[in-house]
Amino acid sequence: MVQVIDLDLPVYNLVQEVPAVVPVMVGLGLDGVTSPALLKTAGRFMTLRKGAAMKQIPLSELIAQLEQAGFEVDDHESE
Amino acid sequence: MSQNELEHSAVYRQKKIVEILQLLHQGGSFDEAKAIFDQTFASVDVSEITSAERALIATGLNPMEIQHLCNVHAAVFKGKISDNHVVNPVQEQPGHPVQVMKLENLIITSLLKDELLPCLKKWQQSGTDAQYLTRIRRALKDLITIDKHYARKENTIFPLMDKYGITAPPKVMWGVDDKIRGLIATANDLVNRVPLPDKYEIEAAIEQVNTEVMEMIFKEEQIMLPMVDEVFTAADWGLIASESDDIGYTLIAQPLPWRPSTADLEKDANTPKKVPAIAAELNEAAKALAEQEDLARLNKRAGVKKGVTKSTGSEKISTISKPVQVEKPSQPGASMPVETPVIDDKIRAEKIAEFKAGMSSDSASTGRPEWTKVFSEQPKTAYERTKLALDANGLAEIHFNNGTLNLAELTGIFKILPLDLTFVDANDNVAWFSDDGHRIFPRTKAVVGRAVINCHPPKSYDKVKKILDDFHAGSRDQAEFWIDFRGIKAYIRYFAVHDEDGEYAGCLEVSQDITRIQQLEGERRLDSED
Repeated sequence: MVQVIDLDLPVYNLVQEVPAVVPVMVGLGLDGVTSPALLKTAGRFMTLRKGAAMKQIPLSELIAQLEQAGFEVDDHESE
Repeated sequence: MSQNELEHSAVYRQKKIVEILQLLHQGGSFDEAKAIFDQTFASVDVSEITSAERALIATGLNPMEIQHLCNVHAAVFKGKISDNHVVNPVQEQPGHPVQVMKLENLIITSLLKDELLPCLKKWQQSGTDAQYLTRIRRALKDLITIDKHYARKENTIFPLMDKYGITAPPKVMWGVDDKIRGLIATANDLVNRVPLPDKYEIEAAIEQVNTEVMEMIFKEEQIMLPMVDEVFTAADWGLIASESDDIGYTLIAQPLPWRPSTADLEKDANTPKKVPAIAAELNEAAKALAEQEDLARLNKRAGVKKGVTKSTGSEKISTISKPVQVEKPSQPGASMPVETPVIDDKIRAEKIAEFKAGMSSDSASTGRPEWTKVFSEQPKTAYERTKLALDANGLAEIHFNNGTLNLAELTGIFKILPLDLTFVDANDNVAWFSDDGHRIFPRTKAVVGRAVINCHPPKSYDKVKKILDDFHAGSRDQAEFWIDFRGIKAYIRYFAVHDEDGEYAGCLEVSQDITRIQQLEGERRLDSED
């Protein structure tokens, strides 16, 4: 089954639901996700959409990377 | 809508916002501005307003003016600003630490996007236009002052985050702050080097500065502020605001003084901030950790009794932190003539007689009024333990082995001492710091009671910990460092402090500006001619 990634879900929850997303995030430079102490705190306020903005990665590229890794992306704005 | 139309509309919106801001800036009427706004927009994004403000700065508007503008635009755009989280109106008030922080970030962004980067680009293209290089140098010099912005965050906000158990993010962030300081210093060094290094080296350095600074702004505003918003109380923000002026600001004028409203303070008091999941969980973790640490420390000591005596001692001291009348001691045996402020010689003589007549030296140390000790006619050959006592006017004074100081004197001495002192207690928590108004390294009240380890940049974490561990273990009792810091030579020493029984009581940090001392030559004596 294809796992759906919600770009606006706090990373803390996202990682619990979809642990396989971690390597993709690290690949984007969002390596804070590997620290449990950060994940528990800052991770509740960080989302993939914010992470991409922070690293100045275009949203389209983020979505492409996630889809390439086999995920389906739930981008609320395109609904 | 095609992409083209969308962009056109974005540009149009931007123009309109600039128009409104300009109108306000030139003293146009509020209603007029509001009318234009209502005709044009259903809502605007915060980012749209900030880029409009940056556009205004780029056209020559003094960044200081933006602050006033911000207050007005908040009113015009009120309720129409869409943001991805709820805007807290209190935090938009001028002078609120959040408003100040965001304002600085706005100016810093403008410095990068509207000055530094465009100048870099033009300098690259122009070949050797000295004018752009000069502007790059100036912009980098301005950017160095980002140190104030970071120092405020590190010394006012971080200690409070730590208090609420949010320890990892400040630690990581402080490390990045230091990295950014280093990157800016490097870039600044490169553009001032003779001969000038390769252009591409300069370009790479400046671009890295830009990337990191912008990422930090994002982290501050999108992650850190929403996070602390869940736990900080109105009083916390008040403390932060009150400590901010001493550290200073980055590229903005000193903001208006801000204080939490009585209503907000009361609201906090009546409805203790509903403890969000994050804080509850973290507090549990922090408490468990603290208990572990205390246990470990107690176990390390053979005499557990020590911890107890120490804490009662500090409680006593803390109840008389101001030179006020000391309460009557509760033990009946130690009752003091507080009601008779003037103690005449007759009473004094009686007291001495009473002392001489009956009390054994043992009961004397616990039972008799402390002040009589001064008048004791015992030969003072033995070391006298430090005692707290009341003077003739019922004011507290401290009897040291070598003399007596009252609290006003003691306060005055600490204030004037040409050294910056910070005392870290036996549990490695900051207990106190001296403040003569010119500390080399900023210290804020927010650090008091916090683990000292969290009051240092991560890069010095291991060193600080090692020193403290050695002090605890007794394997050394001092350490010293000297560094070049903002144009001065700072001499920093750490001493292990022991109580009168020889037990480890804490660590005293002594920092001193020794620039002038190092320059002294020859001599100037009291009998020298001026």
